[in-house]
Amino acid sequence: MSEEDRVRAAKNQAEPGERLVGLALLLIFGLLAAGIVTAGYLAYRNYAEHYRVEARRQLSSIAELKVNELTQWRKERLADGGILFKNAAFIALARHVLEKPADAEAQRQISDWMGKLSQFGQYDRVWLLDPQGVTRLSVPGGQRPSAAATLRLVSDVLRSGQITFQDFYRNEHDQRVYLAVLVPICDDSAANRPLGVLVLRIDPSTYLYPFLKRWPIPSPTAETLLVRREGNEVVFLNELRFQTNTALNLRAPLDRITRPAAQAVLGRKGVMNGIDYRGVPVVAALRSIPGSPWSLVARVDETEINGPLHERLWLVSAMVTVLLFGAGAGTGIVWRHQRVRFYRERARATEALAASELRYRRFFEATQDGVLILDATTGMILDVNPFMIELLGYSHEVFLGKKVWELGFFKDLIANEHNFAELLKKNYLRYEDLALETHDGQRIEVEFTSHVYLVKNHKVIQYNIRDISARKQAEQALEKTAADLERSNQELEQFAYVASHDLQEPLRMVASYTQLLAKRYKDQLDQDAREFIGYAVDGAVRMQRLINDLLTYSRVQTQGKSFGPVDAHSALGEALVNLASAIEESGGIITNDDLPMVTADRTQLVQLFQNLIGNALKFHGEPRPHVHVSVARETADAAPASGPRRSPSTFWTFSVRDNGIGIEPPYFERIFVVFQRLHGQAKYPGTGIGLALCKRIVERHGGRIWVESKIGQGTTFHFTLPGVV
Amino acid sequence: MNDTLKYGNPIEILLVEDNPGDARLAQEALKDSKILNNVNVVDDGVEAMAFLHRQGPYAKSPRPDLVLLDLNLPKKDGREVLAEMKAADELKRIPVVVLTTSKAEEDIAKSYDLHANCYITKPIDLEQFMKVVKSIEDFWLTVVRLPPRGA
Repeated sequence: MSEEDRVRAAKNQAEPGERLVGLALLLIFGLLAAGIVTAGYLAYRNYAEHYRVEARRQLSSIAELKVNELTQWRKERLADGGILFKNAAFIALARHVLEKPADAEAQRQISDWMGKLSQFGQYDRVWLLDPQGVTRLSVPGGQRPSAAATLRLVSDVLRSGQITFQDFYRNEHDQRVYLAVLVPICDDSAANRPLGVLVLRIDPSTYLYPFLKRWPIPSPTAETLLVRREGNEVVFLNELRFQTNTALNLRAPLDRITRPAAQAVLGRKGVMNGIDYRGVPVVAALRSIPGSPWSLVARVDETEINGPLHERLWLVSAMVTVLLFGAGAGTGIVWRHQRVRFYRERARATEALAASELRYRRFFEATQDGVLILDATTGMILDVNPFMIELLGYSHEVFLGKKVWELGFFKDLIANEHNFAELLKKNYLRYEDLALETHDGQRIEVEFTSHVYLVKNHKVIQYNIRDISARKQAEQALEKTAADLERSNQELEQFAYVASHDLQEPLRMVASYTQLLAKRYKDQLDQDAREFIGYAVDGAVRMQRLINDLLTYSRVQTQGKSFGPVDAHSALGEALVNLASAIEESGGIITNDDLPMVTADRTQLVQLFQNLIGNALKFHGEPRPHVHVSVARETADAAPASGPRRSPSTFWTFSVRDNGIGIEPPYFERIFVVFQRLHGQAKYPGTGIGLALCKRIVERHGGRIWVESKIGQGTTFHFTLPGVV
Repeated sequence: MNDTLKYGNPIEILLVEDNPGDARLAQEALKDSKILNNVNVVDDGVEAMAFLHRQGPYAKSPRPDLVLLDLNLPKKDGREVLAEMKAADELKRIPVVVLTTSKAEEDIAKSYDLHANCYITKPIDLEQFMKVVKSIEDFWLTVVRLPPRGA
């Protein structure tokens, strides 16, 4: 791997976090964009759907409206005919005119009727024809021949006697398209003899065509077609918007299924998409008009309907685009922000690393341990700290570039490559004390630790060496002191034993021979001499007691037996047996709680109870002595601050309470000191060692002893002892 | 019976005691005895062994019927004397009363381990001392049947 590659790799390695953030942002943007596009598409589709339905509904209702109006219009026309049909006055007048054409008055009257009819019924001309179809009268103005198509119907009308609607036809005289209502006139007085026919001609261009052309809302392509079927053709009946002269002229074959007009005459109803007469795609509502041969087509170009949809599509697209840009910009800003933060953090991390490096470098240089860092694979020394150099007395150059076994001062530990490899198998190694040889041949004791760890996948070993020569010396000194102390203690013990033993002999001599003197020469001795001998003997006896007590006291620690579980209850019992005579003498009562098992030296526990109860009996007041021994699980407060035996989890606090003379508070500490007494020999004899002995015994057990007392009321001694684990 | 004894051969007692005061006290106490006795006093362990084995100046000495032995002696202490006596066939039957000032438990235990027949602490009071010697005499010289001499 070249240097360049390594740099590149490092760079790539350094930025995975950033790349990850970029990727995440890209993903977020993708999702956002997909969401926006989908939402836009759905909104548009929904709108288009809704719009189309609405447009069709609108078209449909316009068609419905027109159909209703046309139907109404036809009814009105027939009703107009009905006004004259069976009208007796009119019939009479018509008969008169037809039979007597010369009567001008009658002519004038009927013209009046017909004129009014034309005027109010929007008929452009009204004829009175005789049964042969000859025009007898024509209003308004002068004689005009009626169309041949009309004349052909006269006989049918007269035969049926019904008002008849003549559909669109072309007048051969003026080539225009008309409709007409034919009203038969029959003489009801003469068995309905046909008298003639009244023809009410309608010019569709005055009302019907404009009505059809009208559209309730402004529209550039909307149109209404009125069609009827003639054979296999559909005939357009009205004038169209985009083509002139179509009425009765424009025809189309019925088999054109895409044509709305054809479909309409074939009886289809509803809304359809199709191609109109111009060949343009349209949306059309189809209806047939009841009671007529007509069908109605209300249609709008698809382009008109789709026009607003295109607009909406553009709008939605624009909005989507804007939103996409917005999302893109937002993501971009976030990405930029992340990048800035990433680089700032990296800069900070670099600074922190530099600071850390500085701290550890200082530590490495300043530490009072020798540190050696080596390459684990080659054993080559990579770094050595100044203290190591100082400690071993070799120069920096001696270390660097050498393999560790070449240094020599590790002696047997790392004498060769093989040793080193063995050592390397253990990741952590520690020698409490290892002897090294310094440059000037001096031997030093060190504590040696070896760590193996990875630095960027590269195994490195760190040796730490701590000079413990001073500590070793101190330890040796301490051991020597301890041994001296032990010996000294033994000697002292021996001394105490010998001294007390040897001191007793002369005492006994003094006591025995003064007594022998008194016994043998009692006749020769006076009262004074006997008294003096008494003091001498008493002194010797006391001296002996002191020696014995002191001996006992000195031996609490060294001659004590090992600890074991002891039933405190039975220890107390044994103490009471030993005290039997004292109890009897004082008349005292001793009571006690149930006492637990404790960890103790049984002999010493008996001694402890014996001394405390003995004291209680000895220092009694007026009432007869009452001693109570109680026990409680010890409170944290009473736990010994320190001591050799702290392991048992429970301590018991024993209390020996009496009703004796009591002790004043200033003496609470003093009473536990050897030979410290509060009373004269005459009143309360004793050596002053009892409580000191108690204290030594309790302390040997890791407990403590203290006293509570009120003068004249009594004293309670408390002491703690470890329970049984 | 006691009176007849008084006129028979005296009981031989070996008192091993380095303190002449104590030796004298013991002798004084035994002087008043109802039984005729002869107290031989030696003041160290070496002398004691020589007496028992009738060596040197003690070649003509009698064999003691009872040994009163102090523990703390010059040259060879009482424990050693006791051990050697109990190890020697001709001496092991002689009853040994350890009479000492020591009240130390280890001394008592050790003495019995070495087959001392009895361990007595010397009381400080004269009357007490006299009583103790008297009781030794009563017990060992009148109550107990001693092994035959020369056995």
